[in-house]
Amino acid sequence: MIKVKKIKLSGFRGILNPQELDLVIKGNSEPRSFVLFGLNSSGKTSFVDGIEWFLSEANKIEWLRRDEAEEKAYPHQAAKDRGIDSLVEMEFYDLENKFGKLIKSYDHSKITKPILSNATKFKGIYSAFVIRPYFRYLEVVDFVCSKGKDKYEKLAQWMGFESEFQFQEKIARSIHQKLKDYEKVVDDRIVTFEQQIKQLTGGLTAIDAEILAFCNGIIRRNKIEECVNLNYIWGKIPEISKNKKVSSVGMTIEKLTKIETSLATFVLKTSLHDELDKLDKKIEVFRKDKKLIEQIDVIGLHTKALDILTKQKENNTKCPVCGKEWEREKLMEHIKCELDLLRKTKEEKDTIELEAVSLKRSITAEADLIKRLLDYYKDSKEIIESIDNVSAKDYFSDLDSIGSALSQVSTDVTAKIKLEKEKINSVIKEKDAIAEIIKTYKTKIQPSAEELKLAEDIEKLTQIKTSCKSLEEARVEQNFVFEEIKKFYALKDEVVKIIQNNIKSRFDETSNRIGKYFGILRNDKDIKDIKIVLNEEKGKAAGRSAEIELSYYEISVRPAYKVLSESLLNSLGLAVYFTCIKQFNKECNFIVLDDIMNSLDIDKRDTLLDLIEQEFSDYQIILFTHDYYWFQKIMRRFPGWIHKKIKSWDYIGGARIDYVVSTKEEIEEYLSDSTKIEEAGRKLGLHVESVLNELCENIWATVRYRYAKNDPPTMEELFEALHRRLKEKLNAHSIINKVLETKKYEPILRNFVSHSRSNQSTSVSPQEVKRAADEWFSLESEFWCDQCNHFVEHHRSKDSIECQCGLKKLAKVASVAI
Amino acid sequence: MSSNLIAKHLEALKNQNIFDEGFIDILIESDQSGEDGETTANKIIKLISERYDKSKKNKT
Repeated sequence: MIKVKKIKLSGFRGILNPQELDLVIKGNSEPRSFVLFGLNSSGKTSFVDGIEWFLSEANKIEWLRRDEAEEKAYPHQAAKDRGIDSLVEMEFYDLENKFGKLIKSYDHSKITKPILSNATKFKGIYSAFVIRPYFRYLEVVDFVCSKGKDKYEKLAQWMGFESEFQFQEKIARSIHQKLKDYEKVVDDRIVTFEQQIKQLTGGLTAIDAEILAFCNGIIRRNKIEECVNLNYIWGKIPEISKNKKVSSVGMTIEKLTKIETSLATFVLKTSLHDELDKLDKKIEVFRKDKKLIEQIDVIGLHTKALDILTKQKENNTKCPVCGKEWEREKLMEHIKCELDLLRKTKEEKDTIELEAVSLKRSITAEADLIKRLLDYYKDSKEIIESIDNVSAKDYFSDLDSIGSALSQVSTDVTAKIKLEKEKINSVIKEKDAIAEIIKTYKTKIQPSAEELKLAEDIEKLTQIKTSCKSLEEARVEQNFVFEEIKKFYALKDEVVKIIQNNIKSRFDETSNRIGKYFGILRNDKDIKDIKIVLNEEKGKAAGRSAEIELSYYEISVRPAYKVLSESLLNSLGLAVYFTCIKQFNKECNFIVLDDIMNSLDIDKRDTLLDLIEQEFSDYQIILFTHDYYWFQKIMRRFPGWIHKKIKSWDYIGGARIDYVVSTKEEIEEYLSDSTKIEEAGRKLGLHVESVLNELCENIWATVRYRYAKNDPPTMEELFEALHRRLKEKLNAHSIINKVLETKKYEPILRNFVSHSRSNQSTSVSPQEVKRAADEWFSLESEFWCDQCNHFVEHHRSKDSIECQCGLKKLAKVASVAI
Repeated sequence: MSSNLIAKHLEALKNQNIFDEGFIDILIESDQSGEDGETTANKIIKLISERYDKSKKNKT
């Protein structure tokens, strides 16, 4: 059981000079629940931010990230210049005293890497809670209005399956996608060979029967018997070659035809440009932090440093890497952080290098292809001198440089792997132009039609043979790869099934409690069977998104936001959050709540206090609010809590925090100062009005309906309504007369409240205000139960006016006949 | 952060001898090291390529 004894901030967010929230009352060791009232912009949220940052293993404040305010926004902006430490200190209470006081601080020059006073204990604190024990109003709204996918992510945080969620995401998004890409690459290879064959045979498909028919056509033309399969055809190629006329023209024709056929089937890998571009962008991101890259080279040095350290015994020692003197324990932590950073960078580096290796293979294959092309050009140049092949040479040289650069992309900042698309296009244009020159030349040397046809037939058969062999090999590889990937998918499906079943059982565990808590918050009998369900239907995020399902007027609805109002949804969000706290935070018994009652309608805010009272009495609640009315209610309902208020705030002085006394004590204090009579009256007037409103609501006293918000009931109306209702229900109870007696002071008090005439100064004496206060507080105590800390209320089923515990009861008194 | 639950289940799957051990090892490493999905996928592809090369060699 972990609770918080003290929270201290210094140089953090809106707090410059050190300020503490003490959550223990003198003489007690166990911390109390705590409420801090402060108007907006009074520094309350700085404390919540401080707690969040302190409890975040990633050292982040989530809601600031939404505003794109990163770590630079965490320290107080004047702290560095004034030499004030930026830190958050929390002192914990637990029976074994495992944690004690812990400090998270940072050096102003390195705000992304805080210093932990004791890394092991911090680890213990981080692992003490599943759902984060701090909750803000905006998070309720975010949760209920989010899409299934985001809701799932949030629930992953709340229910402690974040790592399973991330693993599931990793499999579903990155791994699955990358393997799909890989399957496509293997597929594409087949398509390329099939295209080559189709081009050679002039066919529509690349099926064996069609190729066989085409090749048989060639050998038939050359007076050779037809074959039953392609392998026999390949055996006939030397036989056809024998028919070739041995002449210089024939040789030239043969050479040029070979080149011509090769050029016709020549396919460049145009996707290389995009793939290189993609990698280049990744490298650009990687290189942004040059320092990290430089540090890669000192990994060995750090490892050595760690090695030395484990053998050293001195309290203070120098870091062998940066030379700075550190406490031994802090140095270990410092080096660990450095190593973590380097490990991450190294992983990025490894990924880039892996991709670079894969791309280098493609580049080498492309360069081999171009080299073959250049050989063809060289052969054709021996026959046709005018052939020029600058573009292919240029492209080859580029591929060569890129190939070398890919070997050192992660370390050499000058390595360039850009491939110009224009150059690829030039190679294609040049190839087409050379093919045209060859064609024209062949016509010019005018060999016989038979010679030309024979050369063409031999070359075509040879090319078809090569392509068919490559296609066969590619198909074998494809079968192999697909079978292997199938094996991986089977494993992946099983892992995902296990993860999903675990998550589903966690959802099921929570359903009853969500229903119970929602019942306390809303008491709406038409909304029941609330449960969180995993969306398993087909779709992009199937099995990776969640929704809230419920029965609404006996109709099953999913998602809940289809039918629920914003206020009901907010209650639902709170019910889910509190359920997760109860269900999963077994060790951590404190909850920090920042203005969360804002998400509820005013008349439902009491139910949140009911929930805290009924279900979280063993928890330490640390609550921040800007709502004074609610704050007063908390003071009345939870007298055992520590109540404090922020009196004022300024940039340098920070928040001025003070204890809060009861309204009665506050009025008495004002009355002791003759210059503060008006303040006393105003305080009393507002208080009377607020309690009268509450009492009228509690006992169902009828007040005239208001159409306009700025037309609240007058104090007189409230007194009268209360009096009427009490008379109706209690007949001759003495409290009725007491109400009438107190009402006599109404003319004095109304001068100070909502219906006052502001242009007139009051001429009320301190004695009159004191008498009014005495009379009122005496009446108020008649309605209040000190046992359950509730005012009495009307209970319809019992037709009684009593408090929640039943100890304070206003019973009907029969009239005495005169 | 590694999840004990994932590691535990992957180990259990390994002992069942139903699923590919090489792939399970890659997933275990991926879970423990917290590496990104792309790195894991590259390792899977590398393993498949190596297996294919080996199968080709065995045939010849």
